[in-house]
This record gives sequence, structure tokens and C-alpha cells, in this order.
Amino acid sequence: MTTEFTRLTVAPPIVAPRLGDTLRRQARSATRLGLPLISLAVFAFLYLPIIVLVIFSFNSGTRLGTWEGFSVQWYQRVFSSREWISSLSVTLWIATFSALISTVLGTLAGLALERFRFRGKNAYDGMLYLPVIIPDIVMALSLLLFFSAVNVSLSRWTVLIGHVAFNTAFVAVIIRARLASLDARLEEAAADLYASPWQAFRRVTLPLLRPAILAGGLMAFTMSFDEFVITSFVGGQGDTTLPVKIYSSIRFGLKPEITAVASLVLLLSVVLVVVSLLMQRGGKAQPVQSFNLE
Amino acid sequence: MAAKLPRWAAARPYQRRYERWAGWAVLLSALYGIALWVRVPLLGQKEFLPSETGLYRLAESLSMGGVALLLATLIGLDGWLGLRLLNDKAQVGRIAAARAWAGIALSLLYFGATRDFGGALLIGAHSGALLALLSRNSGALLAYPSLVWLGIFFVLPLVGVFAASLGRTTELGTLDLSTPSLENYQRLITPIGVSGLVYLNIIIRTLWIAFLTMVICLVIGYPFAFWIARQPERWRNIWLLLVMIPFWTNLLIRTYAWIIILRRDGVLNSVLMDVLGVINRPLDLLNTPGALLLGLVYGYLPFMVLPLYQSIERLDKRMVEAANDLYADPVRAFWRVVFPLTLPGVVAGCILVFIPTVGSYVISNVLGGGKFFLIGNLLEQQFIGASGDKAFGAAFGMVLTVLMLIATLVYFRLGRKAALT
Repeated sequence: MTTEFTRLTVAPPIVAPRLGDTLRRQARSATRLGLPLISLAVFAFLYLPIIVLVIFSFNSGTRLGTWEGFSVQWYQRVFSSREWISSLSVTLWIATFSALISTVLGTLAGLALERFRFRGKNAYDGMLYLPVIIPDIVMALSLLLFFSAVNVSLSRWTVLIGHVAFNTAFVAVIIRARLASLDARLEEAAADLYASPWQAFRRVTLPLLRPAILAGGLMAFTMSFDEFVITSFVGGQGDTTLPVKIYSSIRFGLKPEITAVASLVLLLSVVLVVVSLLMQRGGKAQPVQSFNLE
Repeated sequence: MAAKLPRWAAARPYQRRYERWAGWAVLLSALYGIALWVRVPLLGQKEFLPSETGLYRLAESLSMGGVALLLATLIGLDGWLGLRLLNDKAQVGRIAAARAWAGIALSLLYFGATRDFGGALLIGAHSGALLALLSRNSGALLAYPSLVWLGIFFVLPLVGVFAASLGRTTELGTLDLSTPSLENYQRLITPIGVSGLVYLNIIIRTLWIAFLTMVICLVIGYPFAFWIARQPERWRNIWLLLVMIPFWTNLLIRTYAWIIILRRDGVLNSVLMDVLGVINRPLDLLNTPGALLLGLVYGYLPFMVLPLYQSIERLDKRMVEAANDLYADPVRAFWRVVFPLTLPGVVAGCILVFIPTVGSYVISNVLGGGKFFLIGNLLEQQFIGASGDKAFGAAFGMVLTVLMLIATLVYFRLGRKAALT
């Protein structure tokens, strides 16, 4: 294909435009047909496994790949199993607290980076980006080594600490993006109207920032809820989270109810992500007139 | 409308605020000291607040009376300083700064003496907050909490990994750092018996697989992102949402779904055999290199598509029109104009796929059946379970970290170059 095109482009200049036109038309029709087909294939690739998983969670048989009839027995088994319920409660505990703490820390960090100047700001900025660059397994093993070095026994608290460390960075990114897109003149206007820095923040910046804070919190919750690597490294014996339990069930003796648990976890994540993304977009679309200083 | 300043703000100079907060912070520490004094020396209780256990241990080596006297002195000093800081006329900024530094030093000493991490962290973090307050900089104050958290629970452990990589794992599974050496790094490049350079091979294999994943993701992801970017805006957001959902949902579960499809008695085999009748014996699809690559591409494709989409969407359409006006045929227009302009997105996507792939181990465990040993698998083996060699694992972790930093540097270099062209 390519060689043909290059050969044709050295054709005499008078003929070239017409040939170019036909080629353009050909290429355009190729992209018109090819791109949607590729995209359809990619969407199928992304979603078929998930759909298959959800379908098979309603399978009545124990064999994974063969459809034997519809039943909700695996869901019943999950909801009546004390193990799954207790690891669900551990997961929710960790996700809730890590979302709360990292939202506060990340919001403060985003404000500091976007609105203030202080010594060592560049180094601090770099440090906040490191958790995005460093692979989670390195973070996990470093925390494991650290906790054993300082005599801290592993429990849900150590997992919480690890989760907050990486979540904070993500929340800070979301908050910074929102702050950067906010009109700085709004805060200046507040200052012109004799608002103290705190009042300007409380009455102007914070309301405008609220969607981003909520979205960041939801993202942190979702990431923490789904997190596997750090949890499996620094989790305590008794505090197994859902992803860790799913992993060990997959690797050692396939329990058929994993499909049901996995579908439920997937459903929850999808709901959280959609809400959070809509919130982030909703924040941008909000009209500026919707706040007042009174 | 805010007509005039409230009376409290007008009456006192605005700059005093940070000192007053610092005063309250110091008083708080005095109150905490009193609580400790009542509980440990007076009632002899062992654990309720952090640092009570530590104080108890300290009392065992000193004496309870000594601990009581020490605490009382500290309470007295903090009480005096806190009240002075609250007084607007007193100039005690320097004393307060000295108190903060002393507090940080004390927390280190305390940790050395008692190995009580919670208590030491509390003392140190409180003193650090005092310093942040005394810097009179709102930015520093806002940055402080995350600085402490990430500094102690992220940067410090990373430094610790380097320290551990110089040590030796004892037979009990603990780390011995008394004789630092580069032994673990030497082991990485030493051949083992007949199998040769096992560890170096693991690293090269991991990099190769990560590279393949990256290229496949780029080849699939580029046309896909291009298509999304050219959709009408309403639809575009829906497509984007559909890409984002896998990005944020559990990788483990998404990988697990492939088991159902690829197993010997899985969906794909039964479709091929019973529905289409193409084959008469089930194929072994799981635990093959193909399955591993499939899982990696499936897991990290969204990481490629999102940055690509962003840079394609930002592309100035007039550039393409200009290329067309200058008689560039579509292929040339793409390679000479469109692709170079979207290079930042390409580079960002490649890095975002490459980094997690190099560190991954879950996918190769689940879909490769543990047959394909990657860096991540080796690390998991060293740290989870009893038989691991932690010092050696730490050295491997350092190698991984350095590889990532190199990749990131390349990214910034290429990113800058791409921005210039």
C-alpha cells in the first residue's frame, strides 16, 4: 500500500491533484469503514469478558464454561456466607476511611500547589507524582519492609495507611485540574469586596470546588475498594479484603461463587465510577452565576 | 455584602493568627502530656493512648520516677510557651521554633529508646505542624499533612528498600543490615548452574513482554482513539465513559473473566467445538504466552486510549486541511502531520502502559498459571510466604524502580521533543 502511494506521489505535477483526489477518496472510504469496525471490535474486546462473567454468575451448574441453566444460587450462597460478608465489611471499612482521609489530604495538597508559593514546592510536587510513576508492587514491598522495621504489626490499619498514600496523589490531581480551570478573578473579586482569605475560600472557592472534591472522594473509594497488590502485601491475617479473598479463591481451589462476588464488586465499581465521572463533568458545566457572596 | 471587617479582625493585627494557632498547638501537647502523666506514672496503665506503651518501656530502663519527672518538666515548658504564644505582646517566635526542632529530635530519640512507632510519629508530626505554623505560610500549612503522610509512608520506605537491598536475610527471615554489601546486586548478574543468568533473563523477559504489550496497545488503541475523537460530541462522551469504566474497575476480576473464556472446558472452546465445529479437541489456551499477552493488553489498553484520545481531540483540524491543500495524500498527511502532532499522547500512553506492565504479577499468575515468571512474580515470591529472601527481593525492587525512573525520564525527554516539533 505505502509503496504504491509513494510511487504515485512522484507522478507529473499536472496529473497529481486528480490522482491525489481519488486516493484521498479511497483512503477516506477506508477509514469510514475500517475505523468503526476496529472500534466495534475493541469495545467487544473490552466488554465481552465482563458480560460472559456476569452471565455465568447465573449459571446453575458448577462447571465454569458450560451453561447448565439459570439460577441465583451463587448469589444466595455469597449472601449467606459469613466469610464473604466479613471481608466485604473489612473492604468497606478500609475504603471509607481511606477515601475520607485522602480526600482531605489531597484537597489541601491541591490547594497548596495551585494557589500558594512555599519553599520546596517543586520537590513536594514531584513527591506527589511519584506514587503514579512507581509500580504498586514496589510501593507494597517498601511498606512491608518499613512496617516490619518499625515494629508495626500488619492489620487493617497498615492497609489503610498504604491506601491513603497512593489515593492522596490521585485526589490532588483531580483537585488541581479543577482549581486550574476555575476563574481566579472570582477569588480576586471576593477579596476586592473585603472578604478575608478564609471567607473568600469558604464562600467562593469551596462551593466551586465541591464537585471535584466529591468526585475525588468517590475515585479514592473505588480505588481503595478494588486495590489488591498493597492490600495483599501489608494486610493482616484476619483482615482479608474482597479482592484478596477473590484472588486466593481463584488461585487455590476455584469456588464457583466467585463469579457472583466478582459480578457484585464489578457492579458497585461501575456505579461509583459513573457517578464520579458525571459529577466531575457536572461541575464543569455549572454556570458561574450560581453562587453569590451573601 | 460584607460591609466592614468584623471587630476581632480589626482589633488584632492579622499576622498574629499563626502564632495564636501555634500557641493552641503547644497547649494541646501540654494537655496530652498531663493525660499521659495521669495514666502512666500515676495509675500505671499500659495502653490506651499511643506512646503509653513506649513510656512504660522507658520506665523499665530508667525508673517510673524519672519518667514522671521528665514528663512534668516537658508539660511545664509547653504550658509556659503555649500561654506566651497566645499573648499578643510576647516575642517568643524563636523559642517556639527551638521547641519544634527539639520535639522532632525528641521523637527520634524516643523511637530509638522505646521502638514505639505510634508515639514517636505523634510527637514528631506535632512538632512538624508547629514548624509549619511558625513559617506563617498558608501554602506550607496546607501541604503539611500530605507531606508527612507521603514522606513517612512512601518516601521513607522507598529509601528503606535501598537500605534493605544492601543487607542480608538471616535464617529466621529477618534482615541483617550490620554488614552492608552489594552482594544482592552481584547475585542478579551471576549465572546459576545450567540455567545460566536466571535473574537477568527474568528482567529481559519482563521488559520484552512489556514492550510487546505497549506496541499492541498502541496499534489497537490509536485507530480506536481516533474514531472516538471524531464522533459527535454527545456520543463521544458516552464512548469515553465506556473506556473509562474498565480503567477504574478491578483488574483482577476483569482478568478472571478470561479464565471462563479460555479454559479447556471454557466458552471459547465450546463455541469452537460444539457450535462452529471447527475443531474436535479442546485447545489449551490458558497458561500460554498468548494468554498472558492477551490479559496484559486487555488490562492496560484503557491506559493507552485515554491519553491518545486527549491529544487527538486537541489536534488542530486546519493542520490536516493545510496538508491536504498542499497535495499530501492521506497516508503522507497522517504520517507527516497527524501522527507527529499527537506524539505527546502516544508517548504518555506508552509510558502509562509500560510501567504497570513491568510491575504486574497478578495477570501472569492468573492467566499464565505461574509459568511465565516476571519481575513482579519474583518479588511476590520473595515477600509473600515464608521462604523468601527479603534483602534479595529489595535489590530486585530497586532495579524495577530504577527502570521506571529511566522510563519516566525518557518520557519527559520525548515529551519535550514532541512538544517542540
